[in-house]
Amino acid sequence: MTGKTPLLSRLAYSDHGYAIKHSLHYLGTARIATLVTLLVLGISLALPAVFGLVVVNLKRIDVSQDDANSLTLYLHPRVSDLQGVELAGDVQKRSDIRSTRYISRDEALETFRKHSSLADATDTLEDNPLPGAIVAVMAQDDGDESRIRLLSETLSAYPEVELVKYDLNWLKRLRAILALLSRTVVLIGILLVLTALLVIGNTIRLEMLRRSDEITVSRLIGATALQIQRPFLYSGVIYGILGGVLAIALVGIVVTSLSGPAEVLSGLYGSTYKIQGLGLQYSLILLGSSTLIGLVGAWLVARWQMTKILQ
Amino acid sequence: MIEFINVSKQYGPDARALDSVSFHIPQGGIAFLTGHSGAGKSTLLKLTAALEQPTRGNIVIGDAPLNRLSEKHLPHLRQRMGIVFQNHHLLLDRNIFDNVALPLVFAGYGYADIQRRVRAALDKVGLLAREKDNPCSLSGGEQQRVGIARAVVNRPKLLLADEPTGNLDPEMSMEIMDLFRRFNQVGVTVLIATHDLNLLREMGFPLLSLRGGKLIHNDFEHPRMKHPA
Repeated sequence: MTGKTPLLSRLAYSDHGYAIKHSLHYLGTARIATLVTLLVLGISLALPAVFGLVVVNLKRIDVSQDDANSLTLYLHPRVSDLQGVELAGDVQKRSDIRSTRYISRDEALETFRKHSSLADATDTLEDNPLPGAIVAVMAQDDGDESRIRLLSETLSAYPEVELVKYDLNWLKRLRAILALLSRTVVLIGILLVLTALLVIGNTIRLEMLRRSDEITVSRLIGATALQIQRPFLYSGVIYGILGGVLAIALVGIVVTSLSGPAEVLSGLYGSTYKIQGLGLQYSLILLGSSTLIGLVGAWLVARWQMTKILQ
Repeated sequence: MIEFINVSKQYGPDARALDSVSFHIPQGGIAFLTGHSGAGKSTLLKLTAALEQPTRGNIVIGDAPLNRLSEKHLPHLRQRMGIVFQNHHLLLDRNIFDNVALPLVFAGYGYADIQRRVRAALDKVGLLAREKDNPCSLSGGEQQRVGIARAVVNRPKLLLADEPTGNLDPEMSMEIMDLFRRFNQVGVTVLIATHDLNLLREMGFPLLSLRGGKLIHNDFEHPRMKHPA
């Protein structure tokens, strides 16, 4: 029986199909309003996503924290490489040191040549002016300054060691900035999600006003409250999906246009760091949340409007 | 089929739209509801369709006492009645077929049934050839006939019409009335609100007359009044 009629027609006249069909039709008719809503929606969803990515990417820089959680022991120039390696082994035996790495004078010079604009100047020197060094990564990474100061004083006591340097401040600052940024992103995210809800809600409210004939007629010919609301809920979902897709596209544009400069920057620091984009997982999360925002925004408004109609 | 028992409807402290109205239109009956504008015709129809609740009194449609029905059951009740409006209430964003199909979509019919019933209803009002057209392209009388097709597509037991010929010339009005008569002949109970005196004379249906919210003439004497204990 049903095989005779085309599937599309059967779908178009089912309860849900009918609602979707006329919602799409309406969105197509009110083209400019639809477009503006989608743009506002896309932007207000893309912004928190972009901020979120900034934090995610900064945290990935933070992963190289071994560099930050370490002391550099500069050795006297007269200390030989053999003595330096031996000392590095001794220092590593301490329980408060996780690992050590000896940087020979030659290695230091080589690194200096590669990364410094003063590289040419070294050619004029007869002797290597750079000392050997030991990089010691600490076992604890709590950033406790008094503990680290004590440790650095202890290490200074080795006769081969000329100077102990450490710089915890930049790590601390980075972490503080990250914490602040994370909090800011969450707050901005909440505000922008609210914006998205309001935009969808207001759009659906206007749509309900414009389609009030349909609501009146539907009620008179025996539609249930859910059936009356259904086209508007679908409108909300459609707005949500399209807004989400738009947001993903916007984030993609931002990431693409930033990745070039970011590579240049990381290249300057001798790193091959690449900006992390949304990826499949975050894209799906973004799409899912925007769909949900669309449904919830439409549902809240539709329910509120319906109680007014039913009075 | 439609029974009002001492029904009053008050819109505010001083606005009494209906005052203790009682009548009973039997199954398969047809009647004109008349009275000047403001006499309470529209209120009476709204109460019959359960779009509003009476302030006092009881209304029974078929065998369903309206005051016992919850809001949840009202859509089902309305699916079993057809309503025709003065300004036809057609949706202009869709074609005639889709307008007439709407009650069937809400009632959950499959497409094959929808197609068959919509065409049958459009055929009855003589507009089968126009099913793909927009209601805008029709004349006033044709639009009203689409409205009637939509009201009867669900094969309701009860048909309510609020000034269905209010915007039509006499000839078209007669056509519309003839349609109602034919539905009545196949067993549909019909109640038509009108103040068109010519129609009243021509058609000769039983009358219910309202004045100032009171029922002043009733061709269906209420059984309880006719045979007082």
